[in-house]
Amino acid sequence: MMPVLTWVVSALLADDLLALNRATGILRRRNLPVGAVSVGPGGRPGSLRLTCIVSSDRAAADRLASALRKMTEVREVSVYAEGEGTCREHALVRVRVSPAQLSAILDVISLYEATILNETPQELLLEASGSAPLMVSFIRALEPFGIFDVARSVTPLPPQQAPLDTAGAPRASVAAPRIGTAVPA
Amino acid sequence: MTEFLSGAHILCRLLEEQGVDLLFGYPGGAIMPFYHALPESPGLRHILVRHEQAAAHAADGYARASGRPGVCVATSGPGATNLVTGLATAQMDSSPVVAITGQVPRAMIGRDAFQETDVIGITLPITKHSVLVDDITELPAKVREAFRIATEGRPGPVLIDIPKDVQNQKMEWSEERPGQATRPAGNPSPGPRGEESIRAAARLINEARRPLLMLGHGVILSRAYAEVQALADKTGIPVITTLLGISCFPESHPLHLGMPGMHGEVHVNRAIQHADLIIGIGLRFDDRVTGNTAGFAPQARIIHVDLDPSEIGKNVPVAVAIMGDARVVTGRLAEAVTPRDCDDWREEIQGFVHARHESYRGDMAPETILAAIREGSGAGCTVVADVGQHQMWVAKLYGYQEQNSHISSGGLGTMGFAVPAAMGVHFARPTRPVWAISGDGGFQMNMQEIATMVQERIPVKMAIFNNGYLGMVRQWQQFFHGRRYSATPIWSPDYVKLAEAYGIAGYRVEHARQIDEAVSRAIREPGPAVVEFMIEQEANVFPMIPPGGSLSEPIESAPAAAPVP
Repeated sequence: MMPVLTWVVSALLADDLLALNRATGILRRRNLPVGAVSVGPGGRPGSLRLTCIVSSDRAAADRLASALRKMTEVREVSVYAEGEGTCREHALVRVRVSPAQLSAILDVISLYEATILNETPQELLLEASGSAPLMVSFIRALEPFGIFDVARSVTPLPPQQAPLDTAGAPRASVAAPRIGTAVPA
Repeated sequence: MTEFLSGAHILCRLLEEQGVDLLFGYPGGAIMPFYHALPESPGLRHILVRHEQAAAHAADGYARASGRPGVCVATSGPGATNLVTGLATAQMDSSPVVAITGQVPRAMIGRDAFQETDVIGITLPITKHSVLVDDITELPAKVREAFRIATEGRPGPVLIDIPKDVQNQKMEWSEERPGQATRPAGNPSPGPRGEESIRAAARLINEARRPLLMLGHGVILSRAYAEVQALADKTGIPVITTLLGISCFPESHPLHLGMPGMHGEVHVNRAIQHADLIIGIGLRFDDRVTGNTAGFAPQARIIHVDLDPSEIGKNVPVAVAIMGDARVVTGRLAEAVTPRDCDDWREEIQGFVHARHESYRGDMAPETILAAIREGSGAGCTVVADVGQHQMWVAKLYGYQEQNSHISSGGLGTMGFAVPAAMGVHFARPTRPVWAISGDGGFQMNMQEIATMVQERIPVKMAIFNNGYLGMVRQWQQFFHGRRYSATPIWSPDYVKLAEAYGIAGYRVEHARQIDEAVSRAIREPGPAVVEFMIEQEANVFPMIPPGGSLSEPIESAPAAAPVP
């Protein structure tokens, strides 16, 4: 029995909604436990990078990669252990606030280097980023105050990449926008 | 010469360019521009089916028998959705089918227009590729790409969805600079890593004491008949053919053992369980072949030859993987191995052979019926089997000698496949006899295609194994569901009168003494004919590996007290 670990399967595919639909269909059909999916411009003109994180043995992750490689719109696929690449989470948290708790919340914000995006007398909208364990810790630290809503997303980058041809691609597109899952608190 | 042509006319030219001369289809609103243009291309023969599903199966049958892409055409909406089963069948069995569907005009897409369906979305998981033609300027590239993808590497179905207004769009078309007809890429060389794997595989083959060759559909797709026979003859390794590998190796050959798996012969499955090496060529170790994979071939190392890297290690662990065309790789393997024999091992396997336990009321044994068809039709006959008990009898008892003479829906197990697919086989092999063998359930799923055969003079002979049940499901109910025959008794019309209603010959056979006469009269008919064989109602297919069981656990007779789940 091969050990179950967390793998990142990263595919560069044609920037086309049909290709994206086909690729996500493969994720669904392979019936693997997908922990996160992110999609964004792939750094090359006309390309998207689809990245998914799966908890499985290596062979299952490789089979997913093989299935993706069969798509004509897929240009390259890489598989690597989560720790081998760089993986960052982004979290948005809407948290209850009261005058009595403001000081304590500001301590948490300072500790996790979070940013206040919006504030009302009743709630704060906070933004933070970092490793997955750090974001889990951040959210747990806010739980005692009362969380209204959480949205998290993951942006992984493969461990080694050929220099990207970013000509024609907006600079911001290299740092891919993310699709995450809104998790009601 | 440069012409100003509509998309529909250009599509016809592109089909001719790709070497297409036959289409199976059914017209409708969104594909009418294409049908309007079609008569101007007399090189494209159109076969009007009676249901779009049959068009897809017929194209599939044509592709499997000819090795060339089969083409089917349907309109948008229900026409397109009716193709779905046929496309899924082709996808599971790696058949190069190109489906052309009409779509509502571009301006109407996404507005729930009349007969609009998202056929691209519907067929994403059951096609190798699919494209929507957004503009007439894309049409040539997308059609050529569709044929290339359908035939290249591991074949599969490709769908081209063309909005009606794109079919009516016009652009300049130059006959002087036609694109190249798409031809499947040549057999790729295994490459340096492949050569290394071939040497490793040859070492394992030379050292093995109990090796087996398992041959699948890939051998037929790559036409590797001579190469697998050379490998078998040089090494004396016994040969097993999977359901879709049947007819890739002559069954009269002394090394041929039979079919493995759920309904494989006991000695074949026991050979697998005792083997120390399995050389799997062009098969995907499907669950119907392996049974419970945890108990599959426990002593064997596996060499897996497949064109599709995603198949390697998918179902069983592999000692040596060789990714490449079965013909090229097997040819190289045959060169690399040392001549040897496996006489001791073959003798051991002979000790596993069991006498069959089947018993039949009366004398209508499947062996007798199939022997009459085989002997009456002679060499060159292609048998297209439907799905169910008769499919297993046909697979195990027909005794195939001719290359690629057995065609059936293996992966998807599509009832209703045989009759329309046999029509396609006829067009691929117009001078050779073709039999469609179905059960009474599967035959009723697509028997409307008799009308197509009559109209188009397609002389397919249709055999119906009538037991009044959906036999395979009934067998499972008998064995595993307490003999509760829920929804499996099935009434049939009078097939002789049905045949007469279509204006063709029909025969009913109730006793073995009538078999030869009925079969030979059907064969002598210049057109299609139907022969109904009234077989034992509760005959079972033995042996049977129970679902989830290993190949070591065959059921060889009906359980005395059927378990109640």
